[in-house]
Amino acid sequence: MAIKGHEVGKRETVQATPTKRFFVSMLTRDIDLPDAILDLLDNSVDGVLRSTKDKASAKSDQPYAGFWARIVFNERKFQISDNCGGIPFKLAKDYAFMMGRPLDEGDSDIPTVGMYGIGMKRAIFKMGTSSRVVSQTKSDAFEVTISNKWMGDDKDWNLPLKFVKPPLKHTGVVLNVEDLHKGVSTLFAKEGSSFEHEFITTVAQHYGFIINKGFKVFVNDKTVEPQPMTLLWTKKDSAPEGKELAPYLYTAEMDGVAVRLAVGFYDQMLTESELDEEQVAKRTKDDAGWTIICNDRVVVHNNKTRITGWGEAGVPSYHNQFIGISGIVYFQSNEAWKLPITTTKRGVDTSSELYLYVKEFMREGLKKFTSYTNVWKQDPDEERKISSKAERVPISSILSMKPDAKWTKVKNRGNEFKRNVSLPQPTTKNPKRQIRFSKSQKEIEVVATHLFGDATTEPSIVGEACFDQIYKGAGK
Amino acid sequence: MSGALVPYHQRQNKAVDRHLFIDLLVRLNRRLPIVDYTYVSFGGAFLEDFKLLHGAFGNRKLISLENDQIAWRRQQFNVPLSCISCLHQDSADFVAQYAIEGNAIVWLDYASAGETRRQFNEFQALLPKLRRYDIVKITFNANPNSLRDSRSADENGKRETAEVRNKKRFEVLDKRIGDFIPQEFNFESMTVDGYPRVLSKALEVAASEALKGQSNMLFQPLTSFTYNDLAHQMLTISGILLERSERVAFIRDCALRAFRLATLRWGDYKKIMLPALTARERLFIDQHLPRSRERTIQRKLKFWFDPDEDVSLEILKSYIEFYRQYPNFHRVLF
Repeated sequence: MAIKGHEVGKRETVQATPTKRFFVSMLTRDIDLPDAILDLLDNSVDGVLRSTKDKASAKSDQPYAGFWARIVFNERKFQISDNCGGIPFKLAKDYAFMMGRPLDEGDSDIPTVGMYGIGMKRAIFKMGTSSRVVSQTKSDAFEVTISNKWMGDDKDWNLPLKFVKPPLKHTGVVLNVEDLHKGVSTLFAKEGSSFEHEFITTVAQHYGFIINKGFKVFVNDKTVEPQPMTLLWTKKDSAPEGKELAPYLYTAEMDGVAVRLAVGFYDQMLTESELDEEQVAKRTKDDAGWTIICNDRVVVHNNKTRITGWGEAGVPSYHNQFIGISGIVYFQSNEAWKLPITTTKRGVDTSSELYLYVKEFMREGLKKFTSYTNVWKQDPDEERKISSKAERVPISSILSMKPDAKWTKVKNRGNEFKRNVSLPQPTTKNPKRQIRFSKSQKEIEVVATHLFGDATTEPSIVGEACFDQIYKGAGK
Repeated sequence: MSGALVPYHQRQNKAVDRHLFIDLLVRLNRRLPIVDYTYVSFGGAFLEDFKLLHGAFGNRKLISLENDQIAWRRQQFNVPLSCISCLHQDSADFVAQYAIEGNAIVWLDYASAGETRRQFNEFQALLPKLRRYDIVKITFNANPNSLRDSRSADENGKRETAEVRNKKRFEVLDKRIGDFIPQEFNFESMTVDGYPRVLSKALEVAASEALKGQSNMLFQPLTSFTYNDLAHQMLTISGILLERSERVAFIRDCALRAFRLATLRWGDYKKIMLPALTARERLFIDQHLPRSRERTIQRKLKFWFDPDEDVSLEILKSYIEFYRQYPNFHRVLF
């Protein structure tokens, strides 16, 4: 059959260039709004690292002191501003606005967390369709504008950069996003949105370490306070031998990465009735689990899954009995690529050899404390006596401890130590057993009124009192 | 729902709160047909609020929830109107099975102090099930002494300083509802005046969270009061489910900004603090209202309610604020 049309053998090309809309929808699909904004904060922190690179302050315990980032949002616009040194012109020209980070970009000698390659654009497009970025460094000030028109034009992939008179009183970046997407605008609204509250909590969780080291973050003019992280540790002088409740600690220097690990109880074990009241109490389990920090930035927060060793190699899976157990692993390296972090910075690289090695110690520590809750659950009153003597010690001071006589070398290596002292054990002479039974509410109330004159007495107390009375009689 | 047998009808501050709710509904009635609403509340043995609402608007769909068997039986005996269904049901079950067709007014009138989380959760479970223009009133304990008593002593028997006590109070509250408490609050807010503010702001977070799936809706607070009849300070917040875009127009149409007792912002509240007045005092003061101010009335009374003149004026001022709702209790012989 003959068909009319183009001549056979004639060659054409088809369009395969990406559209901006494709990029934008792909870029923003798999990231949550709070995470996208955290990317911008990461960039601010990297600015600090860049500007303090060769200074003595970078080595102090307050390397971020004097630096801040302010985030302001409402229905109409979003703004983040900082005094963290600004985006150097070369970095802006070469890759800060590119879609993706080129291989060789020059920040490899500082412990960065941000990735200009993707974070900034992703955050902008997640929120809206137009933006203005102003950067002021010691040498230049410029602005880059992303307009609605540019977004709609698939041929023009260059953005206009204009040098301007220094608009700021300090070096830094001001990034504005306008023409917010409808859903984002609703979340940013002052009325009827819990986003601000949740975002402040997220920043407090993920930037706690950085804030404790001097950085300040303001969200809608509210100062973000870091969430205190503490572990229970019995005061040294009040702990007789074998009665010390202390976290399990591990420290190592491996191939340019410093590792610090601590796991223990952040709170006392819950009694059975407290576990029953779980619904009444705050979801305390939110505070349990492992937190992993890479170069001061929290990448995994209170994880309770196999990723952090729960439910594998002899460690039980997480459940409410372990609600008080909390651990932290801290990795630091000037060579950021050595850190066990995923490219999105939202997780730990579970195939990293370093992480898999450290995970063995995470599991060892976990096992120790899950076993402790097992052996003591028969006698919670006695356990309370021990744990109530323990103090809440800030995690920062625990992680900065130097190994002493109570630490042991791991496999006799000079660069790995752990502190693994035995935890208190219940006395085995007259072990306790638990009795469990159920009775109707009415019957319990009758007995409670009979024994205590109070029908609302807790069932466990009623049951125990019944046993005690009968036991007295039985011994005669 | 404990507290079902407490004679609430004789608690004057609570009585004022109930009247104020009717006042609010009168304003909303400009836009909404309140008479068609189904009214749900924990009526207790006395079902006071049902009588009041029915009297004011004539609502015919009235549901009382009661989980206490004894109070429920007594309620059935006392039921003052044939259109009240007294359900022997827990509020949590009611919320879980919520199936009211048409608009509703739901009053979650909680009494228990230690179950703030459960109460918040119930409120959160209810909100997404409601429809546009549904009205919710929620009452809960806002007495900081219920977190830790102001007379508490430390382990050495010494009385705790306010700072130590308030830190402990904040710890207890944080364990209960910490995930709802905005970061700007700390132990310093654990005072009689500060605690209701924290609860109100926490409820704002809870409401916004609950409505996440319906981002065009918001729960707009309308009135917010604290009152204290017995030992416990209570906080009561009434609000309405609106579409975001109509918020301003709705407030304007119902003239809520002109309503002196409205509280349209989370965290704010007004105190209901009524003096106990004799019938003669009341009649005398009323003769001068609404034209005279407290100072003039005090002068004419020729005595003070308190040795401190400012306190005395404060008491009068509070009466003047709520005199229209002030209940009269008289002995009646049948």
